[in-house]
Amino acid sequence: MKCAGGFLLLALAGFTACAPGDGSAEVVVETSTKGAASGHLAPNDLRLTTAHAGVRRLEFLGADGVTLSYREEIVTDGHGNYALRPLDGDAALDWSTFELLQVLREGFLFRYRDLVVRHAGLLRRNWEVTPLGTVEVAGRTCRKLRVERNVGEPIAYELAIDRETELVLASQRLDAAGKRVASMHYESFRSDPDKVGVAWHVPANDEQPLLLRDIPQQLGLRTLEPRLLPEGFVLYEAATVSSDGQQRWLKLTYTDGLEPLFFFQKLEDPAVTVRAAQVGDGPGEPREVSRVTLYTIQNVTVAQGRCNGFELIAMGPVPEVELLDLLESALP
Amino acid sequence: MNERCAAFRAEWLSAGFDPVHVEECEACRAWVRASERSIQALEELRAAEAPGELERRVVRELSGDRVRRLERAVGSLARLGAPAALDGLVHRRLAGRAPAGDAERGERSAQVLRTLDLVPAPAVLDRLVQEELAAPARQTAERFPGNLERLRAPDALAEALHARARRQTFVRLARGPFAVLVAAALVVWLALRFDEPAPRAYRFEVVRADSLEGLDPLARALAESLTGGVAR
Repeated sequence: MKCAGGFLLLALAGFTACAPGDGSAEVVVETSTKGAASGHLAPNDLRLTTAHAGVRRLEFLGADGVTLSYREEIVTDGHGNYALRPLDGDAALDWSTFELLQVLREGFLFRYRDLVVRHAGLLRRNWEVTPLGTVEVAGRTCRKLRVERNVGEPIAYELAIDRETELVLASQRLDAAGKRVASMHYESFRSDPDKVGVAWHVPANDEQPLLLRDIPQQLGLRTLEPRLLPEGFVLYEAATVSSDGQQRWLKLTYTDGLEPLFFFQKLEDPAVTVRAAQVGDGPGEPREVSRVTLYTIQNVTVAQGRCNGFELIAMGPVPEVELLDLLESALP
Repeated sequence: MNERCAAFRAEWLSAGFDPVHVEECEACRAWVRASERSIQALEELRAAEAPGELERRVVRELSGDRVRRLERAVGSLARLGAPAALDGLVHRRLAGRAPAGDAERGERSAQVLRTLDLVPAPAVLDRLVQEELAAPARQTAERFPGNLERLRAPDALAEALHARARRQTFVRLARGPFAVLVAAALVVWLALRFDEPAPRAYRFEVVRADSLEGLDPLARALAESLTGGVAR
């Protein structure tokens, strides 16, 4: 059984791997393979290299017990372009606002909301794959797998993988108690999508990939890097991104094979950072208080604040204590 | 045995013998009988098969694999001893020099380490070590629950599920004592609540927020995306 699981794991690693940068898949893979995680990244995200279209239903269970449910259409052209189009959703949703926000968040949704094998080596190390037979999804025969994390919180996924294309056609995320907290299910699937009139995603955050090593030298700035990570996570992507077209951030993405974890540092004029860090050193001068705001949204913890003069954000599906430790470990 | 006998025996072996000679020569008749017995005995012997390894080796040799030949050639070389001059040189070099002790090895290691870039341990480790020493059970419960041994569902689980109705009956019977236990646990929990450990001493003040308001737009969009697109 274990052996069969291993083969399936290899297959799993092959079909949805390494989310690309917004519209720059090759660049990110090239960047990452030069870095610390080289040699482990699966080469392609099959969603980007397999032209297909489908309607899928997504459900997310909130902490308050209310379920967010909606349908969207996905289209990929097999050449790196993709589009997500919200179709309809809960009656309780303010649909026009929600639809607009989903369009704005299209890149993040595709890259980070959807289940993607980000690092095949870590997937083998941190997760256990168990085959559960076959299942029919959107009229297609799929292999059913259970993928359970071996380290940290014992969360799990149940997946249905199309036998022909190896795409994930259904997934469920189960929390540590075995409760379903998120799900995605293709209601229809076409391998010959009609690409006429499709508005392909255009990245808006000007993401510039970086090599994983010597990041301060690449940017010519003092940058921070967490040195205490939740168990099983490693750095696999580094880039700079812009927010509102003005402010630039260093974005470090970590993964345990499947889940992403983020660390952001605002890239400011070094003089600003030094001044902020030194406020309070003068006699009678009030020292700037380092403060972090913590917020938990479903299974994701978000921490943002100004510490030692650095504007920082950490975010990921990890417990609060681990995220705060990560943030503190980055401080000089 | 004369020349006729020799010629007869050679012809007999090649199946073209002289029948007159064998009638006249007693020695050749005896030789023929003995030869026939030998042939019969040889025919009854079972043919021995060549070992598989021989076939593999032949194939390898024929295919140009020289490794085995080289191994054999190297293995057959005479082992030469080191020249005496080398022994003398090593002896002179080591003479009067005691083996490096722990102190000397430590100093050498320190010299090597001093040449490396100094990367200080993150300050957070100090706090974590202190917290672990102060309350190890709390650390284990909060940070390392995933390290606990994970138990597989026993095979008997399916059987147990079939007996669910029976268990439910038992639960109904045990409900009373269970309620008492829950009440006791509640009392214990309330008692322990007043003994909660001090909050963690981060190097920054931690403020809990009720919403994502105030978060940078980029981070806010990412957080909302990770959770499926929570409506604002």
